Amino acid sequence: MRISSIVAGASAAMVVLQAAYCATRGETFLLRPPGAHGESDFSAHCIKCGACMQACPYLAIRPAGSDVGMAVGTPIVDARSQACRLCEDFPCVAACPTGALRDIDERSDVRMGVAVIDEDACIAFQGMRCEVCYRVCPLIDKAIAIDYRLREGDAIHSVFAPVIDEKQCVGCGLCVERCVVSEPEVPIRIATDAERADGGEA
Amino acid sequence: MSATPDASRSFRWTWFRHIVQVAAIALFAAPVLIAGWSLFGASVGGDDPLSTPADLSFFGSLSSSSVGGLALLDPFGVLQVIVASKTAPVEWLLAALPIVLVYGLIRGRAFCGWVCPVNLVLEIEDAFRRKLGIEVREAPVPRRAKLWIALGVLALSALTSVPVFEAFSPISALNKGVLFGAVTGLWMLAAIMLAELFWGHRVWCRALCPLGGFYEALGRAGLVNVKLDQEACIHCNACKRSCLADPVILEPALAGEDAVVRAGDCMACGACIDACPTKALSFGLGRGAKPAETEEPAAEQA
Repeated sequence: MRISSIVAGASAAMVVLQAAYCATRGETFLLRPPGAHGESDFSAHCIKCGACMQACPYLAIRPAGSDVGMAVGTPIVDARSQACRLCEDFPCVAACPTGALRDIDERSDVRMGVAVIDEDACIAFQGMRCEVCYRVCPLIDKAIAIDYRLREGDAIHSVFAPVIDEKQCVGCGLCVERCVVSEPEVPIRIATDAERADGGEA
Repeated sequence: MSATPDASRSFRWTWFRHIVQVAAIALFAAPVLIAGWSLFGASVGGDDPLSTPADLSFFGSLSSSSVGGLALLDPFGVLQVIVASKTAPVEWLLAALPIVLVYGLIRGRAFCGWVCPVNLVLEIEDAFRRKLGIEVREAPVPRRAKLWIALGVLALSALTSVPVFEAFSPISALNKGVLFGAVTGLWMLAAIMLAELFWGHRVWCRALCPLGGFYEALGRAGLVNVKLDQEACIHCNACKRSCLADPVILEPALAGEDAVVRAGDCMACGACIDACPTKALSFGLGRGAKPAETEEPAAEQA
């Protein structure tokens, strides 16, 4: 029975290692579907049943992979590949059976996060007229506006800089999905409230 | 390998049960496919809204589903969320109630025997193991351990404010893996399969699974029970060798102390009924009171 003991030990070790791995991976910031009320409230309520995923007409809600510890299988939005469209009727919120997603009556109730622009990487700040994020924003002229101004140290050219209104941006991520720049990195991303409270490190 | 002692017997519960197990997987996959989505999360969305499984009158997973607008919830999941979130809205209890009633009335662990995809996979694995001739221990962990593990899961969920089993559940790995490509509990499933192939005979379902522990507790009620015809029994123990739960649960009936297999462990899988060469075992409705013989000697001693 020597081999069997080794296998039993190995199986137990796999489970313990996974548990330890999960326990040490608490600080990942995940973009949740509309209606999540902060990470601790969300993780207390979500049973990973997938109802929100099965209710999203854009298939924007996906199960988190195994790299997020205890949150594996919880619904997340990968804004760059498929952003939330902020449906008027929020079928994901309506489908959630345990109140992990709740209390959304209109778009302005949503608080997934806030778009953050890396001004060094955004081509608009370098003098190109892009405005893609501004035009695709479901809350155009509210969440994103264009700040027209003269380019610094340049008396002829203007800068058409996208500016996020942190109070109005709900963090749907459509700007992130559509941003035309991807090298060296996408200059716009969604920062969750938890991440912002933590000091803004991703 | 279970022998077929009575070749004339055409109906076998085990085959019927395997059909139900596969149907349970198909039941949850159907809305995904009808909505035009691929399984395993392979579909991608576009700019135009697609029809969704949630638009249909039935969709969901083993954790939660919606039947004609009626919400259903896994009762053990609800218990975990209640202790994790420290709230207990009536809707959750109402959504769990039909499940509790159905399994409570039939038999708690009928879920394990007839619906759970992990049990199906592990049954196949166990048949494979027997073909390979790999010897494993019969009961390395006591069967009641799963009750304590279920309580431990609830305590840990309360402590960490996270529904703990849902993060590791191998049932999720299979059910939600098929439905939308979730990898929850995949490691757990791998560990279990390794343990059952080389170490303990059906040790997960018999002794470890907290959901099985929950349904074992519920299985103390239940109207569908295996009953034993004492006259026909020849004490060959074929039933005990075939039992998917723990063979010891048959002992009170075999010893004549009880008319039915009363333990909450019984999955009502019907394997013992199939295995019985004299048709001494059958499913019966109702369980009656526990016979008094077991109490009388105790009363005399007192």
